[in-house]
Amino acid sequence: MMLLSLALGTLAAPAPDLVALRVGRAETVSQGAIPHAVILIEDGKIVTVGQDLPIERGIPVIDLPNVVVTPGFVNCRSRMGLDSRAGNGLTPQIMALDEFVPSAGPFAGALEAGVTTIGLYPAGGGIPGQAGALRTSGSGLEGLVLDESVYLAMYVGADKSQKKQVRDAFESVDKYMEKVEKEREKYEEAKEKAKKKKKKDDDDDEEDDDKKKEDELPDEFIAPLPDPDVLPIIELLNGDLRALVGIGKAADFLHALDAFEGREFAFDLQIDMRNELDLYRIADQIAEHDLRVVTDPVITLHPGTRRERNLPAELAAAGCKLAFVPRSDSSAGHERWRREVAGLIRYGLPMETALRAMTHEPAAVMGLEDELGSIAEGLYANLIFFDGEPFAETTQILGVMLEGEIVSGDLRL
Amino acid sequence: MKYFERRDTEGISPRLLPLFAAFGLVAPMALAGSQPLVNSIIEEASEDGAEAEEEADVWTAIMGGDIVTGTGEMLRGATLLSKNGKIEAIGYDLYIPEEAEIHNVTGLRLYPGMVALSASSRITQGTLAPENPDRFVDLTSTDGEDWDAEDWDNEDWNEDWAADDTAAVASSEKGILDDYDPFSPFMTLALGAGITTVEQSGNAVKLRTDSIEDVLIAEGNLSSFSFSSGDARRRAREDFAGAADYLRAFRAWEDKGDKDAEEPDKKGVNSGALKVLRGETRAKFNASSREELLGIARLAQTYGFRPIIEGAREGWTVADELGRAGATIMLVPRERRGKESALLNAEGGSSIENAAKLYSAGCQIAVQPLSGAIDLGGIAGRDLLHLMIEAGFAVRGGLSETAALQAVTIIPARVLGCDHRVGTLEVGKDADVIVTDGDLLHYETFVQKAFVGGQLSYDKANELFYAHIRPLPEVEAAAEESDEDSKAGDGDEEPEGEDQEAGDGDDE
Repeated sequence: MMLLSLALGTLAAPAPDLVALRVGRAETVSQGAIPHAVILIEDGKIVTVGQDLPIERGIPVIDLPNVVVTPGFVNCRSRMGLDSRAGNGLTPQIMALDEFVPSAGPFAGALEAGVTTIGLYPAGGGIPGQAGALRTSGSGLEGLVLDESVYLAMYVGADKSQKKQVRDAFESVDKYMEKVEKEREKYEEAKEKAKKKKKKDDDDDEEDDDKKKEDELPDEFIAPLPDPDVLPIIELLNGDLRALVGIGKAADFLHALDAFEGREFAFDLQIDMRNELDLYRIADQIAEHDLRVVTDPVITLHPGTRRERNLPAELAAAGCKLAFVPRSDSSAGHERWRREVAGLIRYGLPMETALRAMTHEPAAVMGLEDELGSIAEGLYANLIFFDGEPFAETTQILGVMLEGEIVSGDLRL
Repeated sequence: MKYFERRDTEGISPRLLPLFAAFGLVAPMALAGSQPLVNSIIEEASEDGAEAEEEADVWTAIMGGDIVTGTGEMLRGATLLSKNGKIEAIGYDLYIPEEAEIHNVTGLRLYPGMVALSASSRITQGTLAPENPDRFVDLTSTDGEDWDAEDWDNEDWNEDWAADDTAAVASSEKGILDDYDPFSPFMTLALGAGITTVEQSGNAVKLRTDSIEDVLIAEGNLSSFSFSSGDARRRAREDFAGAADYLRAFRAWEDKGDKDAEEPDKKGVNSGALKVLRGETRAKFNASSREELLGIARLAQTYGFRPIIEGAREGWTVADELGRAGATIMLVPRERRGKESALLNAEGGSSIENAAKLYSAGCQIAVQPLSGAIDLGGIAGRDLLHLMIEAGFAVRGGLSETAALQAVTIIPARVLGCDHRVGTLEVGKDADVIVTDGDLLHYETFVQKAFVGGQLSYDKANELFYAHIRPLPEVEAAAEESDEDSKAGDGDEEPEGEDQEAGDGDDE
């Protein structure tokens, strides 16, 4: 409420931590590019953004006329700071963040490269567990963690053991539901009996034992608790959790749909780009299902040839949503990330799509699109300050803002 | 905004409350509120299932070609009409529905799609999974393994098979479906070679390039027996004798109709032999020498079944006996091997006339290539891509052209038990059609188009592999007309994809 009134400029004395940025251009992602943008920030959140907004007297103004601002980059699938231990099994209850130790401070390089949010995924095949979202800067675990559970990692392919695992996971939910139904029937039967008994008791007015039994029955049916490894799957089917389904080739997608057997839940696809990848075969189907494709920004070779294909651009043209991850999951890899994406832009990927694929879409993969990933009212003030076009070769990052504070770069507010 | 919250294993985190509410359940433990009981997810699921969508019929008309039906006729300049993947009509002046997809193939020929026996599993499974340290790739599973003919001749395997063959069939066929890759480049190559159905471990699998549904069209039609060593021969005879005894006892018990009498014990009876004698499956042997072949012919005649023999190198020397036994022979016309020295003056070794002689003696001939894989080295030229050339060699050895065509279509379909669906072009069968630019058995002939289930699954003009080799005149003309930088020999990209690739790169 207070934020709103501030935006309207009705409050006489602005709060001291309110700050206004006047920049050359803001690539908001959600509302396109805004030239001569004013971004009002309070308490680490964006209050408002617009072109040449009048700024209330008293609010400190920072003028950066030659700066282009974008949302902080989001890498939704990383293993930075985690070891490479991997299993293969059905362990959806495992949290990737449980194995994360904040002391190492592994995100400095990524932060310098403009990455403000990182999704750590659990290692392993099958259904290895749930990914968590972190800030790339903060003190201690509490300061770093944004959300402990953002998506369920799952791998499905044209492989009978992989498909079986997924089928088993869904069947465990069916079994649990059957169990619940049985328990419910039992409960209702018992209740029915108790009612009859009660009537009888009223008539006969005797036998205290039966009354005791009736007291034991709760007023409403209470479901038995599901096993911990079933619970995340229930949450998935229930819409409380998203899935990120890893595939290795186009056919895997058809097998994934086959293994899901018509069950509906929110998911995105993840695939490692490689030469000979035949993803163009299913571009239309992915678009039809309105899925995101989490992938690395690489030009690949057409199967059996040395001919180059810009698969991400083809997917985008077919109507698929893209979310990029760096090719290499290291500090240096994050530093190269922007240049890798620039390579795809040079070969036909629209710049807006590319920027979106580094900000809003990966945030949406983690279900955090209403908290970060674009420059809009109410979202975290995660910003990157560039001294020119974000994807131009010579452009430097002047500073990175994480929730209203400059956490990297030489920029001083 | 969600802050980090450790899950309490004792109770239930508040985050889970809505979950139970949505399930129509009251949350367990003390957190239970007074949630009314709503529909459970089970009820919702059954409602969803009730919605049955009615799909429109899919029509395809292949017009103007000379149709070689595979049953002996050729209809010149006729039309083949397919409805929902089945052949609806073949003939002239057919009524073509407005919504039909029309392919004009005037001047070309239509043949039934070929059926390839002993094909390697790579055909339908594509390449191995990509390298990914996070992805589990079990290299010990059947992933990279080929079920080649040798496996069937392995005695240990046969014993295992006999012990539990139904389970083995079930698991192998599930594996085929779960590993099926409709986008495999091998599949495209095989279609380009005129093959629309392949054998995968004894099952008939269609080459569909658009879907993973309805690809397994026949399963477990073969029971394999080894006949290669003295031991194996004795065992095969015992197996059939045992199965025959059991069947006799069983029939006697059945005829008696005595409820109190005990049913004959099945223990020790070879289930494969039993299935063969009951007519449920066909017995398949792997044999080459005349001695083995004669033994099989005798065994088959003793127990009254028609054997399928793979190999039969010296079949031509005992053709009459094999013919009398009603044998189906799976052979490689280009096989070359001298006779064993032990045969002295008797006839032996391979012969170019093998197929012709066996055919004229009454055997059914199925032709298969030397390698069931697609080889890009090694014995290239004698692999799956050259099935029609292989059949052409049988013609060179004296086999009639009709028989040679049948040897790569309807006969292998019979071997696999899918001849009711594929193998000839007849009304009611699957619209698996290949369109060629000449006689299928001629070395110069290319497959121009392949239809699987009425769907265009291969088009030479748009497929990278062969498009540039002797294109059809009209395709060539079209290519010349278009821009210089348009690529006629392009892969199966969408036009938009092509534009993307050509990319002007005007963003920077």
